[in-house]
Amino acid sequence: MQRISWLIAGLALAMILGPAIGHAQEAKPKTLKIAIVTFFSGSGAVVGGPTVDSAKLAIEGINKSGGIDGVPVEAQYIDESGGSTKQVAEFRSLAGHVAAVLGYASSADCLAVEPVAEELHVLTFFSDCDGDALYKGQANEWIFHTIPSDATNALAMALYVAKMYPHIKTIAGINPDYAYGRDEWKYFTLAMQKLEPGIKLRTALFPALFSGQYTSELSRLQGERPDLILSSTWGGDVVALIQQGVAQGAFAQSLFALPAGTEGGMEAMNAVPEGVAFGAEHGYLMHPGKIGNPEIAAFVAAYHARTHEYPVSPYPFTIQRAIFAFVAGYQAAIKANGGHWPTASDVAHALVGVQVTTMLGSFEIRSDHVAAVPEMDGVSVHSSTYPFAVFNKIVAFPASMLMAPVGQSEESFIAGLTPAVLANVPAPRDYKP
Amino acid sequence: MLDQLVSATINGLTSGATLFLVALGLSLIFGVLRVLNCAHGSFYAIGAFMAAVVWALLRAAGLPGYLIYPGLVVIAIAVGIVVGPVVERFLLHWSFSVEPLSRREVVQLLATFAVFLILEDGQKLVFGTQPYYSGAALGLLGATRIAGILHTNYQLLLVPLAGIVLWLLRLFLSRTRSGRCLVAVAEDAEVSATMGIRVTRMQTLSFTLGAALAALGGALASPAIGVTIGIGADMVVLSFAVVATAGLGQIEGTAVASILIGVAHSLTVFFLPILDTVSPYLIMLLVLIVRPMGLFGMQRQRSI
Repeated sequence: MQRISWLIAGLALAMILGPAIGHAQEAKPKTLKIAIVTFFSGSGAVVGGPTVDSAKLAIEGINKSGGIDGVPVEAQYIDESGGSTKQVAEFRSLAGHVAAVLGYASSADCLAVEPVAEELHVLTFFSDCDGDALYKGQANEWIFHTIPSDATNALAMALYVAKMYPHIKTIAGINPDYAYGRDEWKYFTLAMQKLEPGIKLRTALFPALFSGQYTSELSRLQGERPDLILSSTWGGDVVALIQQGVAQGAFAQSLFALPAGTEGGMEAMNAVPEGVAFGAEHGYLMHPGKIGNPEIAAFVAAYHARTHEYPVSPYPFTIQRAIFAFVAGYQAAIKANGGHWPTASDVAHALVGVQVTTMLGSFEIRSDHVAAVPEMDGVSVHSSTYPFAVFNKIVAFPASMLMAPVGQSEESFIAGLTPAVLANVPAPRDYKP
Repeated sequence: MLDQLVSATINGLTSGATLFLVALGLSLIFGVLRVLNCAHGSFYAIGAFMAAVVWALLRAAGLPGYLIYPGLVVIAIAVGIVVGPVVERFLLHWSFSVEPLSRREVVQLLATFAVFLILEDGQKLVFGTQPYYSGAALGLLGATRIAGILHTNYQLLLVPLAGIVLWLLRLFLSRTRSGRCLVAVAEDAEVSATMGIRVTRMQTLSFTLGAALAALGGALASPAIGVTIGIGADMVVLSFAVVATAGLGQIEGTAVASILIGVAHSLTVFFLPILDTVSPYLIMLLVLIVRPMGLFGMQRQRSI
């Protein structure tokens, strides 16, 4: 009996001291392994190529400058295609073997991975999935969003249109038939109705994602002659939409607003006529006002040398936001730990409120684990430097203007807007193309 | 309202034209080989990829863009000749002798699906995973305003072009020796063999023709679409809907069903957008409820 009592007491002591001892003994690893999950195959593969190329460059840079407190970062790359069930299985197999999982473009995959990350205590950074349903206002412990809700992207475009094109009276849309396309239409039109009361909504068409064929949809809207056509098509779809729209005269008839237009990459920017409104999905490295910055110029040159492409789409930057948030979290945790190597839990705690430094400036991780990043909108203008159009008349929206305060839903935030907010929209800046 | 109806019909006809070519190939292969070819969409995709690659090469070489138009036909024939016989001889032919018939059908369905998966990965190896575009070829021929809406001349020309292909195929089947042998094999392979027709050669011929038709559909569609991995799967499902609506092995029926499905899809985009994705399958469903063998299918019919 006495022996059992001692055993229980010993166990209790071990349970109390265990974490503390573990804390003190968290050994500095030889390498810090991370997993980057993105689409290598299927129609989503447009995301994967730039993501991997950019991640490799960023990690090379981090390791060259000494890694994280002398520990080099080592990434493994995992294909996101195959559906959510496969992703959950992949994620489970990664737990315990990597310090963090970064990436994911599909909101469906993020929704599926979220509870597993919480269950297995895996530090996870969602870099590209931004379905509004993922942002519930309350923070998970282990999940960090380095991209804000897609509603902010729609809101930025609405503010831009309302500010720059006050004559717009009618709006129609061609948006892909899934959560993102539906969200963009919903939040853009909601915002426009608040910013420009009296604006009329015309036909909203939702062709299948990756259908790549929009001639019927374009003809349908051309007959209606709306002032503005919102299309949140991206990847190959937005290129097809632009090429077909230009060939059948739709771009000459209505103003097009493409909040995810840069996700069509160089091809989209090459095919697009001047004067089309573009969103940058929170990351535009070809910004004519910033490209002269030595760090960005060096990255663009290195990226071009490696891929023979320019980083037009947001993907090369979105993954870097996640990588540098991971680095900033570790550095903050090491500091808070008095220079000792931190546990994953220390890092998760240190990430809240941390300032993350990137090529395009720094941003904060809010208490709801969402990165407060700005958005840039502009209009296409042909460039004398590049074989594709770049942005002009750029408005840089601060995150505070687009993101609902912590605890408030983006929908209620947008519903509370009034035309008065337009007075706070920064003035557009003109750049020499 | 009338303007919209005209626009919707024109759009339906142009999208129905490429759909027709692909479905025609599928129907031809079924008529002669009795194989429901799941890999058919891959031929469409390969045709589209090749067209986009040739377009990029033309541009890179500084050659005039107009050369792409005859190029599209050459690409289709090349894809048919190179891919068709290889797939039929080496990957599918063994399945033609599986007995009994009920088992053969299942085996063939699985075999063609396996070929589809192989070709899908093959496309990734050869063409990579990034999309290809030849959309600039769409505008080269200009556009025509009909009922107030601009339609590209390229797409308008697809409709008569599909008609010419249909006419040439009919001519081939009724006027040439090979064509008549093909019809005979479709009618009854065993009797044809006893009459001295080399059935296996006819099977390869029909598979090659079918693959070339799908590739032609893909090549002609490529300027109007973004060519990405996965377009083949979408197309095969749609062309299955067309041949099911028409009745398997029915050539003219395939033309009618393609137009029906193309126009129905376009009309829903114009007037009932909520149904646009499902409209081809609704048409198929309605037809099959009334006529289970398809619009033109008969219980025991000559197949081509």
